[in-house]
Amino acid sequence: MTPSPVLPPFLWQLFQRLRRRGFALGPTDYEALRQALRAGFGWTSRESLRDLCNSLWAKSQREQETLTALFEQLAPDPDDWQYSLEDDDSSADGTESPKSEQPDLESKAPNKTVPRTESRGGLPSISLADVKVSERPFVFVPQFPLTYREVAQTWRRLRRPVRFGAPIELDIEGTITRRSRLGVATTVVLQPRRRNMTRLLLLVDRQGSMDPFHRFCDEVCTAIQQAGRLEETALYYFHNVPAEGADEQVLEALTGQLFPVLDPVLPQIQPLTEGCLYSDPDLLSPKPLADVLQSYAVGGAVVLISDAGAARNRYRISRLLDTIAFMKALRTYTSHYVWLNPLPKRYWLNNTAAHIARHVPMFPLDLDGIQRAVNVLRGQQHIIERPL
Amino acid sequence: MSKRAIDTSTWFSQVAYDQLPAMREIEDPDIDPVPETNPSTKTVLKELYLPDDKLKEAVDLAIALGRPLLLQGEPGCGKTRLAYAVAYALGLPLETSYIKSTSRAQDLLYTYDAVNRLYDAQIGAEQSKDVKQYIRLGPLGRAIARAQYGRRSVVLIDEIDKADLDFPNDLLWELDRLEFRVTETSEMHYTVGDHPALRPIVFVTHNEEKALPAAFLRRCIFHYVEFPDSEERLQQVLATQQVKNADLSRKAIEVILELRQLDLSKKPGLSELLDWVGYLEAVKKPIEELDLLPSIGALLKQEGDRQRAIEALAKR
Repeated sequence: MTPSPVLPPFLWQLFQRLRRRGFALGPTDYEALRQALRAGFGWTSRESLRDLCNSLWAKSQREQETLTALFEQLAPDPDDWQYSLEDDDSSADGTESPKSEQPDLESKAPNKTVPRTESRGGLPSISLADVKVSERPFVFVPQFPLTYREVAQTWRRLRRPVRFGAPIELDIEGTITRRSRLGVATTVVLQPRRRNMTRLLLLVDRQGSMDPFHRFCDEVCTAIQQAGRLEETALYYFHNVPAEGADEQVLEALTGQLFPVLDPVLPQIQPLTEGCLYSDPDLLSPKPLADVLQSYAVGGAVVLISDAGAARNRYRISRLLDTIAFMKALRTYTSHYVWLNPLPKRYWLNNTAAHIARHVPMFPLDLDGIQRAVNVLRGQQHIIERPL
Repeated sequence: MSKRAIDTSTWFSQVAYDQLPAMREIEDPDIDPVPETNPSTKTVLKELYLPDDKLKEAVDLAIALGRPLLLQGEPGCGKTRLAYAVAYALGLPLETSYIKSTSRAQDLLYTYDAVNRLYDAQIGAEQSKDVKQYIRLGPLGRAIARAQYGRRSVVLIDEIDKADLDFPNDLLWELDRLEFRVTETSEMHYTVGDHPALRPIVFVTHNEEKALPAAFLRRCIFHYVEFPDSEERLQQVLATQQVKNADLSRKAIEVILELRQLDLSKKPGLSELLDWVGYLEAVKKPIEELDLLPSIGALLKQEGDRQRAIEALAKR
């Protein structure tokens, strides 16, 4: 077997940086590049080596953009590029020398006109001549606490396979049963194929304290919609609370407390479905809450994404009351619901979020959180302090 | 994953595609079961296709490493046609599998017709004792069987994202090892074995409707098929597709490039352009009238897009 060529060191750097950015790459992928180089690919130019890396390591357009930008950062300048087809033989022998690791930054700069300030009032003029400006492109790629793949993989576990549609699959059990019961040759029994019949309603808090999380929530919702492979995924938005206007008279019993706990009056809170959800993220096209719940929540799974007041770290009794009243109403439609909070658990202390989490299964919007949330939606028991 | 031998026997980029004859005799992929020797041939017409250099390199890489080539890109930019062109260029039979939402990975390998066997057994037919009579190999299964007989094939798995969630994952082992066993009968076992030059060349197209599992992606070579970026290149594509009226195609390209700059919900792709130009050429439309977007239904398939395009071109 011919020895593998020694790869230029920047390729290893590139590989490691890609791994750090969450690319699904393993030793075999690095080996694949080595093999491809040995087979003669990617030697003609810097671009062809880049395209080769793209083909092997990047598995979507977005990943290709990231890889290309990183490659431009790490790869030596074209002037230093000594590979050519003639080098092919030496490389196959493993004698090829490693190339310089870092691109030479200074060699490019001096030829350009350098900005210079005019001197006024006796101050020395400022020149940018000595300032090193990197020409390497930056890589602007959103990096969320959850990647698209992680969300997609987790959400695929939410399945309720039901046989549905035209009967096309042979039901062997059924056929044998019928055959032995009747004792004569009969037609076979067919049954429909299994399909995932899970229906999901996503309710996402928008604007105000949720502003910093918009992009993140969008990414998560897109991943669930596109890759969750559910029977139906509906997405609606709200602001702060989905339902508003719970009867505040029940709070009278709690007067005098600074941070009242709702527990004593919990049974008196009436279910509430008065309110609006919005089908667009700008909250411009309202839909009555009750209608949406009626069409999507019945027998389905419901996920709320909201900071529940944790972002501003406030305790508002009216928000808590409205939320509890809404959750009570939701319970009449489905028993599978979870709350995902984009803020980590340590932010939930002493604010509305902490109180809501006592009554509703609430998880932080990270990998562990969504996995446990899906478990709850799948019917696993989750112990909360004071169930509704 | 075991280390794979590299196949350097076949290079798609070294085939001068434009100089190939207009038709070739290629093994008929429709003969069932796959004959062990002396396969009959059929005449295949040349696929009019103009791959760019990057794409050729990606095809070569996929062949050399023996991995499936995953093609992504806008609808109508020639992902599927590539498999036809490669099969023609290399003179190999093309096994096609158009994936539907009900497709299962096993169907690609083989199907077992239990229902017919049961019927036959009930009427006491002799052949029902032989399971093999009821096994029908699928596209990938046939390609592997053919490799066992010493002949290579091209396999096209079209629109893999339409299939169920498990589909790509169920294929991993078979695509990796290129062997399978029919579970209903132990006699039927097919494998490519240690012959890199016989590995089926697999193309997988993907419309990004649903994300594919990471484990599957890892085993593929990825290529994004872009819309041709220059006018010159589009001219070449049209010329390849035998659009003879050069003035007409120049004007049409100008129009389509302009349309693609608009904010449309579905940008017209290559196949739409070919349909449109082909029709305009056939009805001998005067070139000056192209600005009025005649027969625009061939280019834009949504009412909103259509109105936006007409408004934008009228403003000029």
